[in-house]
Amino acid sequence: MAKTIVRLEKVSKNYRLGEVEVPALKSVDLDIHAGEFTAVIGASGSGKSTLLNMIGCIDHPSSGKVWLGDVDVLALSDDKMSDLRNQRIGFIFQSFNLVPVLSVFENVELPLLINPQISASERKSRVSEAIADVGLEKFSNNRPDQLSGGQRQRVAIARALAGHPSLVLADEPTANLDSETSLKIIELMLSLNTKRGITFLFSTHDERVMNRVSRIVHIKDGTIRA
Amino acid sequence: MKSFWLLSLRNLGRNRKRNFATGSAIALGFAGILMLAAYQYRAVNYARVYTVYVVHTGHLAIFAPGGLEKFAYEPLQHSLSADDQAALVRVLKEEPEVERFEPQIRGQGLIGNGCASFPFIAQGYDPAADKALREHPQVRQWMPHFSYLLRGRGIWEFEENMGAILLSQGLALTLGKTKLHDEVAPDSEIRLPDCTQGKAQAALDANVQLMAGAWAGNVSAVDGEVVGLFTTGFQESDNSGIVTSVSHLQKLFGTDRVTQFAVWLKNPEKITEVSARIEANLSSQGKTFDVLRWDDAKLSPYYSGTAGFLRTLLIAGSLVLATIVTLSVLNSSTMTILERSQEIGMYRSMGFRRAHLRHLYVQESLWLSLLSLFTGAILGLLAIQGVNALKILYHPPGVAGGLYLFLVLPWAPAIASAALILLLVSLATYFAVSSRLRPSPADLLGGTLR
Amino acid sequence: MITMLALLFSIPSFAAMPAKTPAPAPAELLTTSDRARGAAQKLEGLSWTSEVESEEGGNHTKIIYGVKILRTDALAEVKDPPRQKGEVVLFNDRTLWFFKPGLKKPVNISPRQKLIGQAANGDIASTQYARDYEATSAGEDKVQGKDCWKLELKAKAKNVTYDRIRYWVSKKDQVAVKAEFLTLSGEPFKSAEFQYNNSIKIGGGTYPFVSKMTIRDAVNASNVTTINYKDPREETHSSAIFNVNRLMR
Repeated sequence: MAKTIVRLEKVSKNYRLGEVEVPALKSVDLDIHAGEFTAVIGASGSGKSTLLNMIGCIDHPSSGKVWLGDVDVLALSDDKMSDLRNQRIGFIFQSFNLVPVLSVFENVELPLLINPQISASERKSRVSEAIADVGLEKFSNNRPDQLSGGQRQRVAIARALAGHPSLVLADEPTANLDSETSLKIIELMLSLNTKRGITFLFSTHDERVMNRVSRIVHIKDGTIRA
Repeated sequence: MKSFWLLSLRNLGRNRKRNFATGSAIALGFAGILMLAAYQYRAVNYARVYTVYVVHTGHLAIFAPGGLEKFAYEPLQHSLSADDQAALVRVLKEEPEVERFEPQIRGQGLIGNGCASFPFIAQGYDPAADKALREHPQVRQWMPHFSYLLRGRGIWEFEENMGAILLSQGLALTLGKTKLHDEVAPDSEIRLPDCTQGKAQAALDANVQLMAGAWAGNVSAVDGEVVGLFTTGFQESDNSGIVTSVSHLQKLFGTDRVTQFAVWLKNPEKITEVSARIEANLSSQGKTFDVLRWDDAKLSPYYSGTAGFLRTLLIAGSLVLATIVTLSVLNSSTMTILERSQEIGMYRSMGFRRAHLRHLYVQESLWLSLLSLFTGAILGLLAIQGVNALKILYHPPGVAGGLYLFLVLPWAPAIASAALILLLVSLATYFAVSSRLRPSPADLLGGTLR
Repeated sequence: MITMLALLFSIPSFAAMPAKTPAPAPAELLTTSDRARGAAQKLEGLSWTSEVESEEGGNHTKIIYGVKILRTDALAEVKDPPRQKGEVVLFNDRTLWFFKPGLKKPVNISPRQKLIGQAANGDIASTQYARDYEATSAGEDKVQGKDCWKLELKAKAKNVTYDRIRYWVSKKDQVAVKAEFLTLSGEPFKSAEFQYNNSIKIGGGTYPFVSKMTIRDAVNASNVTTINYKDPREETHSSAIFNVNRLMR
């Protein structure tokens, strides 16, 4: 059995909408193991994004526990939690979230800038490696606005990989892309999972990816269904 | 972090219109502060040099006890005797920080042209000191356009027993004494003018009479020879002022006493210690006098009034400008940060701590401020040079002939105000960004990891 | 109308009062009192000696003037102290000149200026109140035990010694007994009292002549100046000595 890198124990999350508390996650238990290529599937509003937010430690659950490896995430200070995200989790966003004034290289370099354990030379080599992994070597010095949507998402993937995370989270990574490009992005992520053993967890409602993933987590009304 | 500085500089390229507007507010505000500071600096120094050198106040003025207030009513009792003067000369000559000192007489009376008489206010100076002060480097530096002597020659150019007098321009006009000593034939006879023929008769010679109550109580009068016309710089005294030698006024007032001693220092910054030393040395000679600093409001009401007003003007003006700049930056930062909430969420997701982001955005504002301050400094300097080149003559109330609007930038306050702006801008951005860093990264990203 | 009414009501009250000396015209009172203070418009000349002594702030000053009068001109020349000897105040009607030996030109001075102590330039020579002031009657009063007419004097011209004077003239001798010198707003700033122990013969008659004028500061009563008039006599003077041009020779 592969190592568990994320464990959710009875995690619930309620949002307040005016006077009303709306449950987004209901006592969810989930383990993510190293090397998995997992898709979270569910209808819009089913709690996919909330689940990824909890796993990515960018939101606090209303109750329950979140373990990243053997670390109790909720016991950490904000700074420690930030460091944990920086060193263990890579994020890919639906709208890419690239910094428009920076080149591809500089965008990929961003998460490494705040890691004092990484020297400048190692930073350079990691960035080059990540850019090579997504096949954008020729576009290193280009700015995001000089790239296509698919290329921009590749830059985002490279940025997520540059920190050598144990887990890459992607919320609807292909939602803003056409179907052909979407497929290529999924293929890229899959090849990185296969070749490099990087654990991917992504949300999608693209039925075509179902047969590509090693595990599917169905979510409905904030509850994971077997 | 070095790379943060570069990143924040690059970020300035985003939303150029807003950055240009904010930068312009900072640049123009700073240029305004520089001009205001340059005006205040020059005006205060003008008033200082006028007070210390032009009207012979000195850096220190030494009076007999109570002399400043009581001399006008009881000159004999509140002036410096020959013995006092000798003690002062001894002490002042021994003081290495003293550049120059001068006994002075002040007094008033009537000046006549043979037909009519008018009130005068006289300053009796040491002619050599008068010459030195007119040519003092400080006067040349701060009052380059001020020409004290309008016509004729200074009293130092003539033998003391001739009774050389400088008349203020207004008084000369009133007296009809338009002819100066140098313009009258040396052998021309002085005769009583035909007063029915008007003022032209008064201009036949340069001779005037000074009449006053002698300090002993009787009436006294002496002849005087008008050798030049001067301006005091103020309309009020330009109609009554005369300048002559101490010895001439001593003759008029029938005394060997003087009103005060003026002392000029080599380094005015040492005024407190020099003043204390002079007082101590005088005391050791058994003399106690009132030693007043030049900026004492009682001694120099014009200077202290002007300087106080200008200081208030500068502080108020700078505060208004700094407030405008700060509010502009606060507004711009808040807008920028609101717009870039998702970006902040992205950074936070990547592991950027709150402190990292505060640094990043404050540095961005600092870059904008530095570039704007640099632009503002260039604009301010150009404006100052432009104003100086235009030689604008303006007419503050009471100033005879007006003043040239001449601006001189003081570097220390300019740098201090730039530093203040940087501080305010940093604080404004810090608070703007801090408020936006409170929500969770997920909320900043819009509630979902899109 | 008001005057008429006042007149009507005043008649019975007059009738009820004991008979009183009718008041001479104020202008006439001034002319008569001026004569006892040196105004000699109908004479060929008048001379006396004025000893002016002043006590001010503990300082004592004394100057002796020889005074010569011819109609409205006057010449006051210092006789003592020696260092001021020869100093002159010349009155040409209302124009005053100060001169001292060695000066190249005389100085035109104002009669209001202080000469010594409380005495103004205008106090030193003859009094010409009849010429310089408009007098109105202000009733009767008793000063120094003497019944007096009280007059209010207002300056006719600007270049006179005082703006306003309150003046007491004795009924008996028609000489000024007391004067209060007032500011324009009517506040007294100094006062003077007169004594008449001198007499002067003019024509066939003998008239009282001022012997002492004591001037006191209204604020500080210890500031006192006295003018003692000595040896008043009729004397013929050439008008030339009153010519300002002559001073310079």
